[in-house]
Amino acid sequence: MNQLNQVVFANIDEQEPWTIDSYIASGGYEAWKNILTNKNDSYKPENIIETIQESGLRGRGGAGFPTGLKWSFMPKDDTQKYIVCNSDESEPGTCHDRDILKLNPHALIEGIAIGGYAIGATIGYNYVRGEFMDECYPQIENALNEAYQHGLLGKDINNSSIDFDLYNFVGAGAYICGEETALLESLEGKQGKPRFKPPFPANFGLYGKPTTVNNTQTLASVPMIIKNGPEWFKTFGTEKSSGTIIFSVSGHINKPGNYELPLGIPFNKLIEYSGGILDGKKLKAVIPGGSSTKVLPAHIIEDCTMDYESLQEAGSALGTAAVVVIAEGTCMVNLLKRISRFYFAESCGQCTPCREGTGWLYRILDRITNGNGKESDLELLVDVANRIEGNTICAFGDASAWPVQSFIEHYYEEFEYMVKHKGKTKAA
Amino acid sequence: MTDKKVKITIDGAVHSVDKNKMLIEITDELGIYIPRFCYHEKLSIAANCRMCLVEVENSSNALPACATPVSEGMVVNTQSSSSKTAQESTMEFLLINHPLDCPICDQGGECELQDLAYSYGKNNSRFDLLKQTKPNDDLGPLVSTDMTRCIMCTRCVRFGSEVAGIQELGTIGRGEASTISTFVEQTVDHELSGNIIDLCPVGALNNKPYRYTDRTWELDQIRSISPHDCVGTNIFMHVKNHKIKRIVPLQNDSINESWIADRDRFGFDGIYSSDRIDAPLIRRNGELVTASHEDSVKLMNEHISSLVNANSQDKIAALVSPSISLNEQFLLANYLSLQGIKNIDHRIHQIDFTGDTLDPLFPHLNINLNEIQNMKTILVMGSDLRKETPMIAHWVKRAADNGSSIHFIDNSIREYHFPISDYIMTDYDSITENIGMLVKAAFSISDSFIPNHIEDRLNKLPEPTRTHKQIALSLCNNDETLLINGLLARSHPDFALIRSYINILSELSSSRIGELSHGANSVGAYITGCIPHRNQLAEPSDQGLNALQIASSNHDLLILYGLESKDCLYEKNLIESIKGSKTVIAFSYFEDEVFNEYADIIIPINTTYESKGSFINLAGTLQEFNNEMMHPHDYLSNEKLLSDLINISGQTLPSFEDFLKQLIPFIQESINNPNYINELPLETAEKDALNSLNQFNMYNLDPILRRSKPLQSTKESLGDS
Repeated sequence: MNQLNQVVFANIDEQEPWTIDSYIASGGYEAWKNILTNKNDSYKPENIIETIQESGLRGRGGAGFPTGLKWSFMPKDDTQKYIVCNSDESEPGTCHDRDILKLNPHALIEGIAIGGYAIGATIGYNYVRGEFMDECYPQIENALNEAYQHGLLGKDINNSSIDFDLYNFVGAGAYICGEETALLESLEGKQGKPRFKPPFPANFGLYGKPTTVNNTQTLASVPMIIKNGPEWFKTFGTEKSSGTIIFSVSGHINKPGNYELPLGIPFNKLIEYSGGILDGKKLKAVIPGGSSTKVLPAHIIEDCTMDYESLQEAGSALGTAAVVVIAEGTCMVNLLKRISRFYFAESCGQCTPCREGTGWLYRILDRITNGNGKESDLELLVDVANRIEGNTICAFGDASAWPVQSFIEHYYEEFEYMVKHKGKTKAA
Repeated sequence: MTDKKVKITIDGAVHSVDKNKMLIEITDELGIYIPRFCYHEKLSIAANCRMCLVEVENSSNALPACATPVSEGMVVNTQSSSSKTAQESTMEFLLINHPLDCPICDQGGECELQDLAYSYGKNNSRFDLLKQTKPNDDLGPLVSTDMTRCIMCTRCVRFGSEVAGIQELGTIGRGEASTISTFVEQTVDHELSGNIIDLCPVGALNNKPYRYTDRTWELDQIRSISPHDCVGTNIFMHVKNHKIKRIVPLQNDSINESWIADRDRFGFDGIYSSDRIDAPLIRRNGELVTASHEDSVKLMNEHISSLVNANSQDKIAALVSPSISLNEQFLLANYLSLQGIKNIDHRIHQIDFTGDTLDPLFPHLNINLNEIQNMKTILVMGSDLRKETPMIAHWVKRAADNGSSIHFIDNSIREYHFPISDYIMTDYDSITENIGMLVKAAFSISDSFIPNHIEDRLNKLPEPTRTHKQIALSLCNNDETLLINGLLARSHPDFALIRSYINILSELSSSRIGELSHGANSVGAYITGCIPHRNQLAEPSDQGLNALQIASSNHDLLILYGLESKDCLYEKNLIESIKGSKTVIAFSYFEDEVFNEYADIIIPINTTYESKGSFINLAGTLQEFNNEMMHPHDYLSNEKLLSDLINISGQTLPSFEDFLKQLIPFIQESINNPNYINELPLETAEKDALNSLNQFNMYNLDPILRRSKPLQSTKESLGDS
């Protein structure tokens, strides 16, 4: 049975699925219209939150926090509240939000509207990654205009006395703005630097008002859950990882791309969907959830199912489900250097350990690959990474430390070999 | 135990502490030290330096004490190995790109990074790569930069956005390339900008004039009071070899918090100007020649006693600086009054004296400075507030930040960095009229009886506009309201009428009146009797000549104490008077070209930076200072000089101690019962085109500031060009 595209991309094979007519023809905006007409009690805000909680939907942005629970944190008073969609998809390897914005923008708009209604927000912002300016932004902006033209958004929508306005906002291309509080700062027009927590956005968010920030894929999953019920959603996936997720498979793979599949699918099955390892090579390792998650050698990942629990047990994380496939013959030292350079370049510079440490890590790796490494460097790398981890305002510090820790843990000999052989790689 | 308290365990000991506080505030109160760089009690929390990380049980990571609220049952281990590891890690990261050249850094010896490196750093460095360098900005004549030393704590940035209200410095760049800069090249010009020098924990921002002159551990520290405005800012003078090297703030939360204005910090430079005089000068055959102290005192006495003996006291007049110490004012006023001399005044910035009989016992704020922030409505009239009294502007900003409505009536749109509710911009002459219109609006709101003579006056005024009504409403409807009467109003040709309007407005709206005054000690000048219409402690006196009359006529003997003609609003009149008077005695700090030309006796005096004495600030607080150690040897104090004059004149030296005993109750009584007189002045002053004060240069207020090289190099002094 083909398990592909059952929730977020259910309508993806229709003609021009990004148009509102196509979306409505395949059952889109049904949930939102039921809310607007107050069809029955299940469309009351508190019941929508309950439905999402029951469905077991978890945040697809990387941390996997239960979405319904996050929504339930919003205060119930009548102050201005905001819902913000995090379309600042920047985690290396990840590209599913890009396809949602491009191919199924109305599912996202409907999801934001439902989420906003559920938490009591009358204004939503969709923060789109700066690099999506040409490709996705016109699509989502066009879809937004269509939704307004069809009277699905605005003030007192269809005399329902429900207000919801949505705005698209293009960022300026900083990785750190994917961190929810840095995103809020950026949205307010400030430098994209994460805020310290507490207070959390649910109490002090955009412009100091209660705010929920959800990932694009999370919100795009919402309409189908409301339409088909939580039990339907739970028929996909595992007990603790329900539903489907879009895997962005990249690296040494024959058919790189986005595959929406039920959570809990065996790793090998995912590789099968993606056409197998490039050039028939042997699998060496996998970064299972975007560059920030820990690398897993082939013999570990091959026994894993692709869900939150299994990968955590294996010592990594599902993250954004951006699966980076690494075939035999790849130099892990050079790969780590490339990853560390990314974190060095993207640190916001606010916290001391991250600002100073990411550059230190990169430069040590750089000198190892240039043949100038010292034997003490490997211990130093791990120690510096350990000293960054957990000591910063946001999770960026951890994200810069985990690759270093895991690469050296699993491929110590490769690093040692390169140090001893003046930059010559063992992998080749 | 109340619900405002929680129990937490710190290093094994249980404490009952205030809820809603951050952990670092609690440990500071308990005397448990947690290292920090970005945290500063007067600034918002940044939590970015990560130096204050401590182990909190049940938390997977070490938490920043500055940003972790205390909660019931919290267990904190500040000395555990995981706390130490986290702190030592941060220290190592801070040092990898920081120059390790403390011996040539001006901050060395008082550097927070250096201090903490002793406890949390290592002897050797694991970082063997090239250190970073960063470009420096030219921030102007007051603050030097050495940005390579910056640890990005952002205290200076937060000071700008939160205290000064204008973010002159910001962070630019990201990651390792982050730096503090003005972005578009410019200087830091805010009147409080020097405080970033103290806030900077490292040697990145330093005191430019002081830089590389001395090592801090060689300096002695003396508590003192700044003499450049009526606020009474508390300062520390850092002194070596009997010379002031620099001035830093002395924290006083009811006056100046941790801040001082730039003129309080850099003004002292003026006392080392090359034109200081150190010996009496007597004019003989048209030439000034040096004389002994005894001879000069004898000569002065001869001049005075010959006139006194001839019953010509009215031919003697004295103008006194409003910035001299209470002790000097007391002796001087007594010296003259004991001999029947009435013509004495310190109000050299005032033109309109027609309201003298309606004067309060002394000009004051009616509340403490830190209480300004609790006022719900503040109306500032005729004041360039930030320049006149930077610290009061700071407290008004606090009130605005607390949500109070702030209103202005002024003759120029001035830049304030806080929300303003209403701003009535008018020409200088019409300030009076606009305050009158406000009174009119307040009468109709409060529906009070209007006495006929006031009604006649108000009827001549235009009808209040919506803005006037709004301000009047805000004053009448709120409980805690303050009317600030500024220095531009004090120099206004209609000052008496302005003040009468304000008195009426105060009664109608139950507002307090805060009167700003010139110099450091106008309050003392009023109380000691350095005014022509009252004696000491406001006892009635025969009317003598006021400052304008003194400066506008010729005398047999003119005495000038601590001031130069440039200090006087009617400088030209005063120069003519100096030229035309038979004998001129100038007690002066410096040489002055007018004195060189026309004075007959020039007596050197000590500035308050070098004296023992006291000031009364405009909140009525008597503050003493003792700066006698600025003199390496025995010296002639101003008090001794004045006492000698009294003794030689045959009068009995009055007791300053007895005066002090009456002083404190007098101040209390007057402030608690201000007794504003709701009368309009009978006459109005002649409005000849005297120099009305349109420009207020905050670094040209007294002879010392005028000679401070750093301040005279600022944009304020040089103009924008």
